[in-house]
Amino acid sequence: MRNISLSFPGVRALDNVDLTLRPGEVHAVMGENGAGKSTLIKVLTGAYRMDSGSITMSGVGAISTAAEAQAAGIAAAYQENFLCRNLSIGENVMLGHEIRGRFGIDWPATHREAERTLADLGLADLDTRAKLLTLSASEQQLVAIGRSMVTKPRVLILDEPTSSLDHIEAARLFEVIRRLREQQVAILFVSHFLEQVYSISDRITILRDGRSVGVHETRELDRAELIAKMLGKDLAALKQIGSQRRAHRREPVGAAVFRAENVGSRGVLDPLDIELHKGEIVGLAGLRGSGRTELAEMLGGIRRHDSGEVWVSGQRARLSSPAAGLRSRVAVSTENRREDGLVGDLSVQQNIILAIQALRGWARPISKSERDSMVRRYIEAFDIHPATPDTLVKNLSGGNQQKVLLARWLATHPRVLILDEPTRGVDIGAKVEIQSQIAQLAVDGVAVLFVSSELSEVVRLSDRIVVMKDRHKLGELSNGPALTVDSIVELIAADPSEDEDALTS
Amino acid sequence: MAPASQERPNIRQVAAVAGVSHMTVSRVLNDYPGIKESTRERVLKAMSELNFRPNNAARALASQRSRRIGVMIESAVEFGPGSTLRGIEVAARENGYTTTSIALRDDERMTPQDAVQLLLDQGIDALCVVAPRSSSVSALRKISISIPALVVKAEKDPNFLTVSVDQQLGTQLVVDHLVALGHKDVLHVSGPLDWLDARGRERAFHSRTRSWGLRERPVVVGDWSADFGYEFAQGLDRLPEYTAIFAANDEMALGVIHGLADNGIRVPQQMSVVGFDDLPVARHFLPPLTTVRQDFHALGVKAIEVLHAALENREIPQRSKIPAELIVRASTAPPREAT
Repeated sequence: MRNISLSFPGVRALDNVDLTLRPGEVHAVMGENGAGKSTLIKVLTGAYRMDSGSITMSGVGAISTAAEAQAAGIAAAYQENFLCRNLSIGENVMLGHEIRGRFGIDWPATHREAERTLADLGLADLDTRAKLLTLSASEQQLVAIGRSMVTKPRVLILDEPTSSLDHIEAARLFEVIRRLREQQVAILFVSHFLEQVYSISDRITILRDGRSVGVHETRELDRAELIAKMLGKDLAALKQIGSQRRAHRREPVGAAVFRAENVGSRGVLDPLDIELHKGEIVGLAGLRGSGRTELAEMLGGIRRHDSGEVWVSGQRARLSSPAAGLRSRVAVSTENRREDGLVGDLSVQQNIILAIQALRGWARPISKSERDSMVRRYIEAFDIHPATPDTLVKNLSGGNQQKVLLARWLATHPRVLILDEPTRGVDIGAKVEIQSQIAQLAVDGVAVLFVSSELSEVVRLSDRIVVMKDRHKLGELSNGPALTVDSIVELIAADPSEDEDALTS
Repeated sequence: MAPASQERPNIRQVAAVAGVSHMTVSRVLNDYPGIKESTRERVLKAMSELNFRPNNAARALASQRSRRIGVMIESAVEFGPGSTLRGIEVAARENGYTTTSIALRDDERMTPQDAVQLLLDQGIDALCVVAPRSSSVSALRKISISIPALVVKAEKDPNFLTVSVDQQLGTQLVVDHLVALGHKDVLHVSGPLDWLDARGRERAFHSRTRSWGLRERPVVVGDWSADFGYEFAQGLDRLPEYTAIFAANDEMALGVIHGLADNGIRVPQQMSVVGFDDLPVARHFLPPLTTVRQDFHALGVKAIEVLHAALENREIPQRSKIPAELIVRASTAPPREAT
């Protein structure tokens, strides 16, 4: 495969990817979710038409359609759901390739052929006349491979073949793969399991963001290097965000920009105090159900609190709605970006300017030049893909949608930004960009309250961590060299029976 | 000699000859009630046929009368656990028990399971665990232990006997002392929070300062070392707003005082510092340290007393907490005037 490119509306799925498969090799394709692995396979089998590039097979020539791919000997073994559980093993293997005699299908010959095919794979012990459903999931997987081998393909594609197999079952599958390799079949192996890739593959092609970032002999590529290439700059970037944050960290002095006193709601959250200082990132940690989301929502004006008062920059603020919050320059981004936030049918640009426009009032529209420069700035700052203001948000990946949502709140220039799970469900690249933007906000003097279920992220970003448990505030931890994820876990795990104090009881 | 002892008949051979289980033989040996007379005779006959004589150590083990207590200690490096071990050893000796101890270390391939088994193999009467970290207590829960087992920790436990120095009381004394001096803003430098005592002191500090209405301040999590205390205090870029630091142990307090001194912050005039443990050298810090004394000898005595009661099937003493004592020296003073 040479120079393969393919775009979907708004997304460049494959960008100039080369892939060479040699006879008798197991070639692994590695990459994070969304790197382009599945797309590459679909192009290879002819299921997707590539925009540009070429696929050639020695002795055959160019291939571009599914029929051509099949005729050239490219086969894919799909998961067991492509098999018919009520047919026999032999029927499944030979489906569509039954041997015909003078009076229709010659079943004895068909079963003999199925047996031969399976025996070639080291599966002579399977009874071809038994029903498929008598087999375990892993054996069905092997039958699926057998079925794809009936046509004696030269290229066999295995897409996550071991994802539902246990250790021993996978070992058996690998035996089959090794036999195929001896028979000079080229095997394209896609798997998430690092160790399996290392035990079975001869070469590895690494994809990232639709590009090939390297082809390596497996034995020459060590694991850390592979991971670093899959993640790209991101791993180093995450570390760098962490060290920048540490350098920025200092004890807040003076009055807090945001102060909530005795904020709570009966049955939802025990009354608590919380302060946020200018330029400070405060992490809110706790298990699901600890009240962390409810607190974030109360502070952001999304949820009612029946006790307590809030001051922003020394002024008493009534955060009765997100709009009221925005007027006090408190912005809140919730966990449910799809339900509460983005409008899929609007463009990136429309989504970004939504909040700032609402804040100014619809009677005072934002000028086109102001809008364009604002949108361009955020698309660049967050590295939003695709970098086109007119793309509809629903066509964006989850990570890019999240970036658009963040950009919307940043456009309102908040003093206080409350973020609930801003990196949940986004890929690692988007996570890096979002985290580094949050870190930058602190440098710019915004007070950030950051809720995340990923404690390592909380520890990396926060100056201070408020720990929640069972709808009350357990305490606060200063971030520092001896603080780890375990510190938070242990604090949450501490036995409350020892907490009782003679003064309070 | 080894060959002779190999030839010596053991309880299993007796059991085989008599056609009973070795547990039955053991019960006969120890005069348990409820054994059928015919069975008893069969066992005694087999014993005389084989010329069996019970091995004392094995017999002691089976009858739980070795008067030996096994101590498993997770880390003997830190002052607290090490002193606890010594306290137990001394108290055991005073009560006619011997002790066998095994120390676990993170880098060794000795699991709590292995250690407990090793101790049980030596025929201990009772097990005492100095397990300062939550992970070792949870490992311990997965082992079934048939003898009385005591864990030195402050939190009550559904499975084990417990004794401890009263961490909560010690911490309350510290907070009350600072409040009495007039402090309203106190920073706590805690130990690693997977240590039960670190957690206990942090929680007690949290609730006591709340009760007094002190300013709520995020806790700085430390690692018990003087170096940590030093680097923290040395890294302060100005005189902090808080007026006192409560370090969860004396070593961190020592480092804090050193770091503050390097930073030109005077103790106690500009900052009061309190420790915990009362190390023998705490009185020689500059300034001599106000701290909480843990009476490790009393702790050892209490541990042995509880285990002894359990072994004799007597009522377990209810109050298993050793009071802590505040030792006021020169590192605490009224807060500086607000500037």
